Amino acid sequence: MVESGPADRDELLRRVSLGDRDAFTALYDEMSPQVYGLIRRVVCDPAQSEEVTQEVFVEVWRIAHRFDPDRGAAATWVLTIAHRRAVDRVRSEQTQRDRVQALAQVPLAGPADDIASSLDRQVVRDAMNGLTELQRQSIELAYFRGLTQGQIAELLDVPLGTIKTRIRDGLIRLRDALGEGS
Amino acid sequence: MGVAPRRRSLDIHKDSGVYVLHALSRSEHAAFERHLRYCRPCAAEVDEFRRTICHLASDVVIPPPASLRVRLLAQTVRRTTWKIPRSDQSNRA
Repeated sequence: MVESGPADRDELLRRVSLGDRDAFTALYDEMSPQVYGLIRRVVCDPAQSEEVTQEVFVEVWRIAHRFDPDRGAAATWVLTIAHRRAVDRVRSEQTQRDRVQALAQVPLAGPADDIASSLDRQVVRDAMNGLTELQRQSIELAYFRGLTQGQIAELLDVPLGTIKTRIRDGLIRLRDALGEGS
Repeated sequence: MGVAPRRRSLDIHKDSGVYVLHALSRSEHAAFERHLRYCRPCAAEVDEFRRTICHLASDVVIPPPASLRVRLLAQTVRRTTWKIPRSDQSNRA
């Protein structure tokens, strides 16, 4: 995949907002592996992931005019939509209890083995490993498994308020460790 | 989660993290979005957390099937005929 800079994606999205199909194609080529990858990670099933990916890009095309570059990069905006759609899909698929019970059977991933990004892989891995176990597990269960805070509290047998604060503390720690590097 | 409204209004600033991870219930999510309209510190924190969390998102990169690209690009020709369910908050990025 050809990497282009964040500024290029911002410009592509701006052109998409004007109905520019070539820009939309370029943005799709640029971002679909990341979008589909994230959705696969949350939704798992390939066919459903493909559907959700399609929904995401249709939404991007439709509401690109709402993108505000002062609030973050285009990639962040697109991935936020992708994550929200992926989570909506897994929540509509199963009842909450089913899902918590199913996940209880699945071992949690080891400490941030498979995390990487446009930042140096090691930097992100170190940042994740710098979290407490509860912070890291809570963030991963929410972000990659699409669980609600209530489900996480149930799964880990920890009070809801604790999950809420651990997630926020964990994100603050990640933010400080990773800096502005986006 | 049966949290009393009074309690929630005091604690709502702490919801920024779970909100960014889309881990609030539907009603909590809507409540936090109302809160975001007038709480600038929370709005700023949400923007920062979104940037942060995207570093984790970038990890799994999988090219989607080529058929999806064809289907999607065909759709952009007839933009007005899309049947997309009127949705939700996902676009308030």
